[in-house]
Amino acid sequence: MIRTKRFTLIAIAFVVLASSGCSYHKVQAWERGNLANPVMLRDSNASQATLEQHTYSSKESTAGGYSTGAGGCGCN
Amino acid sequence: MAAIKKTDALKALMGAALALPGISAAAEQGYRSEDIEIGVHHSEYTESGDRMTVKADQISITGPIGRDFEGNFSAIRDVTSGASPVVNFLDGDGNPHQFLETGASIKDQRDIYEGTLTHYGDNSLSSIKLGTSEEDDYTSDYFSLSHRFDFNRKLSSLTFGYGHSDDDVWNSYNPSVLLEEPSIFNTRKKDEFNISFGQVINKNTTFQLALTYVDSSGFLSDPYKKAFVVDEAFFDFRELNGYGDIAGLFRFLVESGIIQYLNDSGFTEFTNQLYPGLIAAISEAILGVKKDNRPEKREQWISLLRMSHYFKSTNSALHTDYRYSDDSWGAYSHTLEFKWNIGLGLGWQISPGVRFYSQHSAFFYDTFFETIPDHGYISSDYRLAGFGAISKKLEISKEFGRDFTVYLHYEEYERQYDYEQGGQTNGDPLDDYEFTAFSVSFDVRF
Repeated sequence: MIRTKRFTLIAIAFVVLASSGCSYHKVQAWERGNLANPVMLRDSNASQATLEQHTYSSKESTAGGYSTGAGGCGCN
Repeated sequence: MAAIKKTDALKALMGAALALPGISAAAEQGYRSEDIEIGVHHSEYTESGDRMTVKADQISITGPIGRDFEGNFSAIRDVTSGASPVVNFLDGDGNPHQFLETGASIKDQRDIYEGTLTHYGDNSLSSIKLGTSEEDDYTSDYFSLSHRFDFNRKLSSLTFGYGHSDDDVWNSYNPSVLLEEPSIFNTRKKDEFNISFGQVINKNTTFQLALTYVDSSGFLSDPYKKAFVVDEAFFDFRELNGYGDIAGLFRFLVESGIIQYLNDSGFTEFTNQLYPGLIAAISEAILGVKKDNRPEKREQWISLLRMSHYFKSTNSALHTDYRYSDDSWGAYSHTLEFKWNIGLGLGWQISPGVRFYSQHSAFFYDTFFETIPDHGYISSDYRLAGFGAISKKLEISKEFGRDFTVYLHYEEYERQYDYEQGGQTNGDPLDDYEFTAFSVSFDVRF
């Protein structure tokens, strides 16, 4: 029950944030140079990022949350 | 993944608008590359204590299709060998000891084939992925769909994702190994629903909040793992303490190499083939070694918060992730990760990172059991224990012109029982271990 409430609170925060997207300072097109810098791409190597998540999901109980669509494995 | 080409101003600006951490690799790419890209990736994973090693190779090709589509195909092969914990036994003092099947107990190859088709709209990105994974004792067929649309002049985005997998699980019965059981065959499936909101906060900062619900059902137990239940044993061997360490008999047999000898000499195989399941049945009835048994349904609720901030003075970006996961098994977890991408010029980038993970034990986990709980579920799988882990990582990449990129990645992972945050739950230092992982990748674009 506690976790349901917690998840509901996060979901409400999600909706509030999503609906308030327009209230942020409008970053103009000519102001987006820093955002386009390659260092702003968190994982420039997709294969490595996928492999890391697979390794963690094989060794820890929690898996996912970053993307959808990975298959299962019989990892020990 | 293609890097954003600094020389193409228009694409860079589009990339800026779309450089929100997305739910797929294509989304993170930001825009469709006109190049064909081939990536080759090799990695090596080694656990401490002569446990598992994994060598993985991957090849991936990505290219434009028509005006608005992009296709990707990946093939991955990983080969696992070594030993994995099977069950914990008690010694005469009542202390648990881990039993690992050693030698050639684990030798597995996994082949994965994945294809992704992505459509780039004016304000949207849609993708479909199909994949299949095959192992000696496991197959998985899966697909996923995702759709992202941008709004607020591409300063905000919403992404919806769905994934499904159908898996077959069995035990690749190895009669030459102790405690292996004759083959079983079972199925499991998983559905994932994901919604993600991304926002450009200012000219240096982006933000993402993602919610994921995962519903797994079917045979979710591990066909190789066992749990020791004192009451199920023929005799509480701890009572023999003082008359010789008979309770530690199994431990002695392991550590002296006798079990290894029985396996290697063919005695175990001979017995198993003559009377399939006999050894497993005897160990269950006399030693109290019971099969891993988990609920057939699991629900997980995962929240992910990501922020990325650019520092002009150092031409670097700090990426911060926090993930909270809760699930119906009680194994909730916190994950906090920092990655600092530093652009050094001339195509060099260095990325130190650190990751903290803390997990609560599952409600049916224990190192060993005095008796079978009323709910009937038991597991001593070290991955369901309470523990914490710290990872230190370093990634270095070098872009040669616009056509060729090399990546090196190194990670040290340390799992400790007492790293769990917020009070220790069921677990034991006997499950502590470390691993190192190293990988090298080459991307070529033409």
